[in-house]
Amino acid sequence: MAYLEYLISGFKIYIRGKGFLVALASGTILSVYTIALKNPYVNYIILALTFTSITSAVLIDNLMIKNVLKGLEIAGAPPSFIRRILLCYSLLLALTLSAPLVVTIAPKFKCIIPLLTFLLAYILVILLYRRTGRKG
Amino acid sequence: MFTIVLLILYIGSLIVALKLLLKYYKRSEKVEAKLCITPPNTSPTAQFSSVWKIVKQALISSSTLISLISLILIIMLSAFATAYHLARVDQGLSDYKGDCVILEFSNSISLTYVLNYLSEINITLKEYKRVLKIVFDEPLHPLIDSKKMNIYAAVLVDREVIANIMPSNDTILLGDVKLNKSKITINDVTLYVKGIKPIIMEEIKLYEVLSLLPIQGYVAANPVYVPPENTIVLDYNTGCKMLKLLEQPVTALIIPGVTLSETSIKELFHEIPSLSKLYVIKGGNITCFYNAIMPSWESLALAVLSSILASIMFIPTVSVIANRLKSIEFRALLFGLPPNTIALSTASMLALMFCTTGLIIIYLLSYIIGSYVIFNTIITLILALLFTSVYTIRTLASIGSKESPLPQGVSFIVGRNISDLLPSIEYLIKTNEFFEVIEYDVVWRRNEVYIYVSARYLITWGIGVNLHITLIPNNNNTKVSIAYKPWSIEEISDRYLNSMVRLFVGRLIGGLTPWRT
Repeated sequence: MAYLEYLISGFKIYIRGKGFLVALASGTILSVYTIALKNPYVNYIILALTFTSITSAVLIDNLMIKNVLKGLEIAGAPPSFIRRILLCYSLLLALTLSAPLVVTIAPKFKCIIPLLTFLLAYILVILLYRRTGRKG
Repeated sequence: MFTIVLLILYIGSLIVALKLLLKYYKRSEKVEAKLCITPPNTSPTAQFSSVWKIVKQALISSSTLISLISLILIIMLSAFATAYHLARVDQGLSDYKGDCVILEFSNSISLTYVLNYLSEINITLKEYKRVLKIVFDEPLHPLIDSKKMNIYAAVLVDREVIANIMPSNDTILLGDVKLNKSKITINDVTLYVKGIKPIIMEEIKLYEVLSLLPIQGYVAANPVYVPPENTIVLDYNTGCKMLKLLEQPVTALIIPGVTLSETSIKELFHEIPSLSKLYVIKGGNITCFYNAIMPSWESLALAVLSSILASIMFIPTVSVIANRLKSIEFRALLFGLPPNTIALSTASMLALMFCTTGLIIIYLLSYIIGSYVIFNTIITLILALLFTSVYTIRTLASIGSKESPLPQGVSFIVGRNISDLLPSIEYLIKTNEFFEVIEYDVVWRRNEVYIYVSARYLITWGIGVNLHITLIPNNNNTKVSIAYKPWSIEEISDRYLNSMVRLFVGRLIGGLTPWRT
């Protein structure tokens, strides 16, 4: 039940922000490129672009996440609870971006892309959380 | 000659610079004489430097860096997505039933170079025919039956190609029937002339596509040939010996029994820059390929898609910058800067930064991949900049318009005495470029000063502002009280009038801010 609570809270942050729109649009456009272009260099460019896309998606939700985190802290939520919510949020964002790509990209990138985008998103939101906490 | 032109240019620019300096000096003298007051620290350099500092603070961030990296990657993606077709014209049916490829060059090229490249792309040649068209810089003057002739051009062709009109290797074709069976001597080699009617010579086409005579230019779509009476046509090997040519230069190469795919044709045009036309004769059909590229619809669609992706990536950057600017813009207004100056400066700087980076990357990619990527990448860059500029201007410009209600009066204390303060106030009011001062009255009552100002707004007709400034001594400082009332002949919204008042009062408050306690 507790995991469901984290998931619901993470989903709320995810759906309230514009980041998921950025991730969805970027993922779809990049998957079109993987279908249209068969050049081996293109896969590496797309991999780099997924990183910048996930960063952009987190950045656009920057202010909203800060406010939510402040609210949660004031309400007395423990840091472990906040971290798990952020984990769910970053997982959802990474899945949104990488889902269309996983279908179309070359096999050797199929596993790397969701994993790396999730890690990057999680690192970014955790850094954001630490910064918010330090500012107080 | 060149030195004289440079000297004239140098002296001219010196005179212009001196005149400009003199004009500037006279103008500053006039301003000082008119106002007779000490201006506060408002030099253009100081203003520019303060605006630049604020813009720099807003621009240099991790989000801008991410956007820049994204832009570079997207332009690279657009370059890789570029696909093109060669411009081609189907020229109908040919009597020649075999396969054949004809390469036509814009200038003469070494035969060895062409053959080496063809073998590199696995085109095996069983046979080939050489054609060389030369137009002389200085006409040749050979002797024909002891008479001097003017020869402007020479065409060297392997005899098998024109065997029907050239009976032997020691025959030379000339577009003059009268000279038939004459003897011609060039560089101590003597040949027999076969005179042909000029019109027939102009109509001869090798393999039905390649004109025999060199073309000088075009009138509308009709070619203008070198006069056939002054052009000699001879066998390639004989001609090389006669004109003492080395390395077998050619201006066209006919390769019978060969056909090429479009990929090989593209490679040929890419690798041999002087290749201007390529004819492919296959199954009786003639197709002419030109050295001009046309981007495919698929690659154009991908370029547009790239620009959409770039625009999506820019949105977070603009949001971050907008948040930073919100706090800066308000402070800038207090310092007397007109509304939206910082926002618009930032938007321009952002566009300039993306544009410069994009152009550098496009230049590098065109150098590495090929010039054909320029069109697609430029489309991506322009569309991305267009989308971004519209979004940036809309987002950033809306920051300044969220103005809070204006109070009807402002009071603050300034750390200077009244007599020092008066010239500065006068300067700040009279040098406002948006207003013309209609009335400026200063009244001293004991140790207090009352200033009345009526000013007209220059940008629009019929509106202005009246200002009452009271300067009261406060220990060693001065208390400044400002009350204002906008006026207009027509009915204008309060919001517009308030913005106009801000322009006037903002300059005054901003100018006095450095001495505020």
